[in-house]
Amino acid sequence: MVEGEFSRNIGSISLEQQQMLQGATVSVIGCGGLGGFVIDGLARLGVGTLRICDLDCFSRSNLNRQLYATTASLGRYKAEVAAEQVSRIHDRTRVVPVTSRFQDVPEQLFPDTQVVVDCLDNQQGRLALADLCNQQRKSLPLVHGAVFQWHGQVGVQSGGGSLIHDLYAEQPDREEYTPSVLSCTVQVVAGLQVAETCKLLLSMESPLIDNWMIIDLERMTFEISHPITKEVHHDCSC
Amino acid sequence: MKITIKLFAYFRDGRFKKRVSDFFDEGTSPGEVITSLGLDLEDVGVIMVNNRHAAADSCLTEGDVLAVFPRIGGG
Repeated sequence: MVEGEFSRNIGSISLEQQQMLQGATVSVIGCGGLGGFVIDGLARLGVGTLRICDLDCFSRSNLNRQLYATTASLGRYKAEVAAEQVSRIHDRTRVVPVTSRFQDVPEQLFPDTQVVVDCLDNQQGRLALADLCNQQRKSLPLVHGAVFQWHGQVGVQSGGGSLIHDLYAEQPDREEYTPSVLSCTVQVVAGLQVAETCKLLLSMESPLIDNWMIIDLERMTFEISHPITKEVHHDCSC
Repeated sequence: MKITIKLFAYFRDGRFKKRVSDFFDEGTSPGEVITSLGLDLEDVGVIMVNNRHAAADSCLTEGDVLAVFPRIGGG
């Protein structure tokens, strides 16, 4: 293996860690902008099994930022196209595509998973996924990513954690919200999600565990927040 | 009262990154500060006061540090 596909990974990670990745399973929920680049990055890292889920098909408006969106893939299921494309990179990653709502098929997505990656594009889905991760027999860590224009955020919810609810639960979802998103933003955020997933699989530390970082590519700032802690309740009788 | 306001990501566009303000009265809520800056509360993701999660209708007091993060939700 070291002489082949992943020889240039060695040095950044050890041979033993490379073998750990080969034995790992990651579930990627959402195969669009973030998902496409996350799937690609995890395959090139050498993760052994990817369970990937998206019920959507590629449309023309995906072409500006979604790795596997091409004129040839328009109208096809994103998860199936992603699986095909990974098989063209190398044969060391088994990809299991699922074209259902993730909420309906957790038994297909999480049976042997070590890490879940949130590549969704809506708040309601993110909250449901966070709950599902915490409802598994052994609650699963969730690597969160989100993008908007030149901006993004990345964070890691540990098993049993509440990061996603802390970030999203207070606001109602927006109807028919189609934000502008640039490909460069998607690639940066997806790359950070891959890094965090790799570190989780290898039991490496990260300042983003139960915390999040906000990214501004206009000003080139990457700012890690203070962990979100219990709500303040200032007495309004002042 | 004197408070410090920190804005993040695109909330800084045409505004500021960090500002100390003595414009607001004791008891003003984060939501009132946010709307006074021309921001839509619907666009706000997380409000923190002194590094702790805070509600838009909570009360600010002298010396508080208010951090306002936009809601970022695309994928």
